[in-house]
Amino acid sequence: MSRSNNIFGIFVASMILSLSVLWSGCASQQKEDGKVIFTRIPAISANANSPDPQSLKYLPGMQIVIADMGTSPENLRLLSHGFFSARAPEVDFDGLTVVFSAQQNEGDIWQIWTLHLADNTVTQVTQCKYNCTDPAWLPGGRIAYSKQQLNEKGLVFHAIFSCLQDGTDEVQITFQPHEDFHTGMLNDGRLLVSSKQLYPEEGKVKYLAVHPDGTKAELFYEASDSLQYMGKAWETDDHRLVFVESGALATVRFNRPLHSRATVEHHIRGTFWSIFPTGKNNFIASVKQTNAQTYGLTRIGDTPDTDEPYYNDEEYHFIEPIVVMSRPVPKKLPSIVMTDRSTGYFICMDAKRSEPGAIDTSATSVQLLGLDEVLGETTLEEDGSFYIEVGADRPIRFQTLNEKGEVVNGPSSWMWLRPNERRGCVGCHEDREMAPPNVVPKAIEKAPFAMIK
Amino acid sequence: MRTDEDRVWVGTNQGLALLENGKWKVYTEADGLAHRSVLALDVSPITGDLWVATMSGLNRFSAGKFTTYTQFNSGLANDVIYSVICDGKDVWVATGGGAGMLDTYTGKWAIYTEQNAPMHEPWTYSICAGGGNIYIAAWGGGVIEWNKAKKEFRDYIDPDGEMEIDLFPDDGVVHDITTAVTYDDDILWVATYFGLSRYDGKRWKGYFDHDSGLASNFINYIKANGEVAWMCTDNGLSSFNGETWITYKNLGTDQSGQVIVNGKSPKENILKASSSLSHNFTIGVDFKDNDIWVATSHGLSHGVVVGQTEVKTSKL
Amino acid sequence: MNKKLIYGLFFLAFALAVGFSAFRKWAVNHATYMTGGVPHPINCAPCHIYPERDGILANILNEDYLSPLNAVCSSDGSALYVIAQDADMLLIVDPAQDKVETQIAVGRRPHSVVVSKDGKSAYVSNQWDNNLYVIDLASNTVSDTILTGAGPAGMGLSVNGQLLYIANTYTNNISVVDLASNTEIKRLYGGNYPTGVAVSPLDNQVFVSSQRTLPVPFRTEPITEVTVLNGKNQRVEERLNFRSAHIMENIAVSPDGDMAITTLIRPKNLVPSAQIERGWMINHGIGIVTKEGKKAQLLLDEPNAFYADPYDVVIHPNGKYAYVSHAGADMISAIDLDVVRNIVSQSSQHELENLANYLGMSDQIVLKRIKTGANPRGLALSPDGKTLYAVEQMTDHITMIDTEKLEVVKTIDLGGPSRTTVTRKGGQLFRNAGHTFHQQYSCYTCHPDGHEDGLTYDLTGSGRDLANVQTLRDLNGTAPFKWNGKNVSVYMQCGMRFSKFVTRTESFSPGDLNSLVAYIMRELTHPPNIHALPGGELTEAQKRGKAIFERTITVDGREIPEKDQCITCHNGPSYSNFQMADVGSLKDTDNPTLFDSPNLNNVYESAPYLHDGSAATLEEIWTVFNPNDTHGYANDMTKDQLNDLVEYLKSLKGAEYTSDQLNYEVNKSQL
Repeated sequence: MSRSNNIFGIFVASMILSLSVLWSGCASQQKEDGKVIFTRIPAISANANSPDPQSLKYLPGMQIVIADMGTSPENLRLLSHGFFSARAPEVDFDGLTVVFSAQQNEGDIWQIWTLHLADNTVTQVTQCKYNCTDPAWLPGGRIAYSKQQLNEKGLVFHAIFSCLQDGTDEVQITFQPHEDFHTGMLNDGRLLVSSKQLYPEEGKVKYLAVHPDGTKAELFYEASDSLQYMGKAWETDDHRLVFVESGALATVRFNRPLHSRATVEHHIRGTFWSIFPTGKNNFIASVKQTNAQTYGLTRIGDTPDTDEPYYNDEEYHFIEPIVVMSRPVPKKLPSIVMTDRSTGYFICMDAKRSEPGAIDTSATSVQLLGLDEVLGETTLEEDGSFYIEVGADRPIRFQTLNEKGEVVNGPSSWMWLRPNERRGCVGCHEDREMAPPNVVPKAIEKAPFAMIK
Repeated sequence: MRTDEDRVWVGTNQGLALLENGKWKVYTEADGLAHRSVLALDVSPITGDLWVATMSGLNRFSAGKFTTYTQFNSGLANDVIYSVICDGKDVWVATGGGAGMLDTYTGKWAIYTEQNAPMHEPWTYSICAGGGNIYIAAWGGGVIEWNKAKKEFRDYIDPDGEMEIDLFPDDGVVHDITTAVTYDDDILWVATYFGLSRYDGKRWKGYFDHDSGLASNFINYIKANGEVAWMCTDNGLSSFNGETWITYKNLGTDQSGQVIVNGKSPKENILKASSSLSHNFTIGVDFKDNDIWVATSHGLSHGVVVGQTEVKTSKL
Repeated sequence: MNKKLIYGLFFLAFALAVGFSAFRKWAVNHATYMTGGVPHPINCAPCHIYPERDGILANILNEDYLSPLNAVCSSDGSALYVIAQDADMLLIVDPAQDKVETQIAVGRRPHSVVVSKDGKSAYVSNQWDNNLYVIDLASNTVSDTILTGAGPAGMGLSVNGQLLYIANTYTNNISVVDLASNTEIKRLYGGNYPTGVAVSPLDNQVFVSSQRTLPVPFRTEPITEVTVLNGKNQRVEERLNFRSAHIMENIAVSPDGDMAITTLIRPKNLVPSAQIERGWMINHGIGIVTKEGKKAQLLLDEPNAFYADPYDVVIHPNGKYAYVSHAGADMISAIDLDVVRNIVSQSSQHELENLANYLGMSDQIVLKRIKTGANPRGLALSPDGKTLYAVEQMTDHITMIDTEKLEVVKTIDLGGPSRTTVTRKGGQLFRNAGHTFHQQYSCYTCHPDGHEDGLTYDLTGSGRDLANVQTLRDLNGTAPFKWNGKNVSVYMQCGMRFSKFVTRTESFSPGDLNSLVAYIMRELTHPPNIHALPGGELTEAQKRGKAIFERTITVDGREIPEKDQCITCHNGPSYSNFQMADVGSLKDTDNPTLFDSPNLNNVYESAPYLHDGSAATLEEIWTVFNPNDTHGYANDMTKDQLNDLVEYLKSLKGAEYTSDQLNYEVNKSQL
């Protein structure tokens, strides 16, 4: 055989090998595309009459399953094989790997796990001391999840953490006496956290948007009435968020979430558990229809005839459906956190300002509150501004005082600052859709007042 | 002070005053005026903008807004500005640090001092335009003429050089310390604290209170209106058309005054007037049609020309 | 085979391998240093090839795009007159046939076009030639040239068609041209960088909007002027100050003259940029002036979505709708003017001031957002108002929109190059806000026309290290960058730290960064220097100023230490030695640092001056901020000498522009 033939042979072989590798890669990607993954709960172990899914969070015997859309339940394939209980699956942006929370054996702490759809290999991510649950993928391969916390007062909270896929580099993201559950990623790169104040008194559930490094947490959406549950939210292609709000399907526009709540149009009567967008105006939802005993899966489309229930089983609840497909990767936001620092900075433009145009001039100082203590107090500048340096990674609140020391406004909601974080506010309880006036706050002309207790 | 259409602008030592529709409005530093002491004004005939010379910078007042030029933020020669005029698109100023010119189209400044013009020192007191020239009253330097076409300077000084008296009245400008210049009808008029000079392009002629109808040799300001020059002196307002002198004075006792024709004493040449100037220390004058406005040390006077030699005045 | 040959080949291969390895290692280190460690594939082209403006490679790598900017519709709607800014052409387009009928060469960097009342002539403002071309539309030839102030941009025709008003961007004034004689009859002070002109249909008022803030005291809000001329006597009758706003690119008047609307940007340059969320950096919207004299600013942004760089505004003939192009968001906003009228009329001035910061406003006033191609700029309405044309500067296309359905009907290709070059992609990135958090601003927002916006920002969010925005024009060969000189390349400038402090979102991908840097380095150039004479000549004042600039002895004959001479730090083709220096400008609010000696070419365009913008004018650098001669030995100068120095500084320009002054009759006559 001539040398040229040899070279040609090697070339052909290489091409075949390359194509086969490519093909196998594509094949593994395509293997589960379009299938639906969801959690199956034995009806016997769940209180399905409770609209509060928190009551379902740590049930025994939950299973993660996968199926072709539209096939009968008999064709389900168990993904969480070998786990005592598993739930909260989320597929990564490439549609290749599932992250979920699970109890490997009865009585175990709930941990975060990953499962490669191509070969069903399962890897434990976290080694949590208390339950870790509700994981989600962050851009850059990190995973965020909720972690049970027990503070010195014996109160149980949930905070958001994140870590690498191998469980290292664990970082706490939220720091407040709340029940914080990760409920989704926004395409702008922020985490959406369903957050419910637990201390000093219970509050209503809200969505917070938080940078993955835990900075810039701000209210994203809150219901007008005192709802007790808001489920996982998904951003649609047309920049809406869809989610379940105390059993009903709700949507807000991403651009203006605080004032754009609407109901997702559908023709199904029942109580919803969760929703996942599958295309423009098309969703798959978990719903317990009127007169049904369990939650099943339903397709919701543009027209009534496309609203079709297709998974129901009297012995199981089917919840948390997601479809295996590649999704847009959210922006990977840069982090400003500097771990060698222990404080952050807060600038308020005018603490005397509350509602648009409303100025209460009686406030003369601002007090920084910790969980059960006053962390510091400083005088407001003439223009109502204050600029303070605050210990990082701890819950804080503000209240303004008049000359007599009486509370004028506050205390505010809980918040926190990450090390080296800078945050600002326009006023106290101001309209959250107001951009700041373009002025130099007098407080910034001095060094920040240290309130580092 | 300056008139502009239906408005009368008055510079005072307490701000810029505007009389419009019978109402006064005063602009101060709070409004953007560079300094409360306004020393001179002029209105651009092209743009209608008012240019304000103050003790601390030059203002352009346009459509209610002040823009300030100072020696620190612009090419203005000096912040003490005694005179300002608009000559086409150019604005000329006489300042304590030389004469300056701003080309309003390009924003470029020029400065003229003893370094580049025939001046004795940079202190300039008044400026006017006419006959293709700019005339600058330079303190101690007589009158400096800038030929705009040739871009050349020349000076007119008192040839006898005497500072106390004018030995030869008609040999040139009567004194090197000049206080004001004005040009109209091809005549250059030069005011000094020692008398008046008139220059027709060929001959100089001097006028003094002792040999003419000029109210006083101490002339604060001068403005030509056609062939008539109006001299604001420390002892009344005089006008002169080259032949006839008329002086307006306040008698001091009431609003009445007198009008003195040709400065002569026969009673028939001294007319009693029922109204008069606010004060005999006059410092500015301007005209609008038949109206004449006179700034004095004690208020503004308004007169109406009712005949060739008659002015009815009223105090404001 | 000969053994020697084999050994020779072996050693050659070995040497090449070692050499390549060493070169690669050096290249990696070099690229890592130059990019500030941005992870990316090694690629020499972005820094060493793409910035080149001339030569074979440059010609191969680049294309001559049309870059249309503005357009108007003929009175019968059959033709569109389109300014092709980069091609220096006026295009006459038949929108029905999607066809460019005629291309007419005009002056350099044309800006706008208007058509005469009788439809026989078109007037094109040539921004870099300081004149207008009169185009005879019968023969499609240039029939006359009208001299204006410098940088003629937007134009407006009086209702009787006899006068043309032109905004002269670079000399901050407004030319009034008599079209019977084709001569300028007067020039009035405008705002700062006036660009937009609109004539009231009642002919009683002419509105001129400006890009830059008027000079304001240090660390106070920008105030940008809308100049209102009396249409009868062509005098300025009002100077409307829009507080905390700037970049008011264009303005339009409603058909019944009840309101004028301008596009605007509301920068938060005084606010510590502690965050970007909730509009803490830059907002975008419209300014409104009612015939009753009420002023309002309404945002077109939303709390989580910003519509950057509003450029043009047109009003439907029925007066009910306005359309705004958002050049940085590839979007058109359709606005319900009746709602706007209600809001403005029913709100007190105090309430309107609050509403100016209200990010929820657009839900009330915006009917629909219509997506376009890259960088929609000029808008033109058909005479019946049924069709809206949006000129896409970065695609060489025009988007045609049905104003009843508010939907895109079609896209007209103006015939530009089909290839998107690396630099073109960089231009698209530069002008698009997609690389900032919530699309709050583009590079162009703070660097309009590749220049700077004249503002000082608190980017650290601490009230310290305030930064005066610097121009991006003619940057090639002027490293280091940033006032503190910490960035050795534009690549580094736009890298990781940039995303933390400026864009506050995901940093540029290596490919995008390559394109962006290529665009900045190659495409952004100074306009011709309006203070410079043709052929590098100097005026007498500039000659005297040059002598002062280059002097080594004081006025009284003493030697000036080298470090205190102007030419020590400001030498070379860019008038910078690119070294760090202490000129005594450090403030208490600055952390200790030296400052990069800035380039001085076209420095007259870049007020305010110094790193924090504290010197309002060039003069103030020496009259206010140099009491101890730390910024050059200067206090011995008289005022006229300082004036000469300033005149010389204003004339400094890049060497490449020296011979490129052929059209500078205006300069010659004016200087």
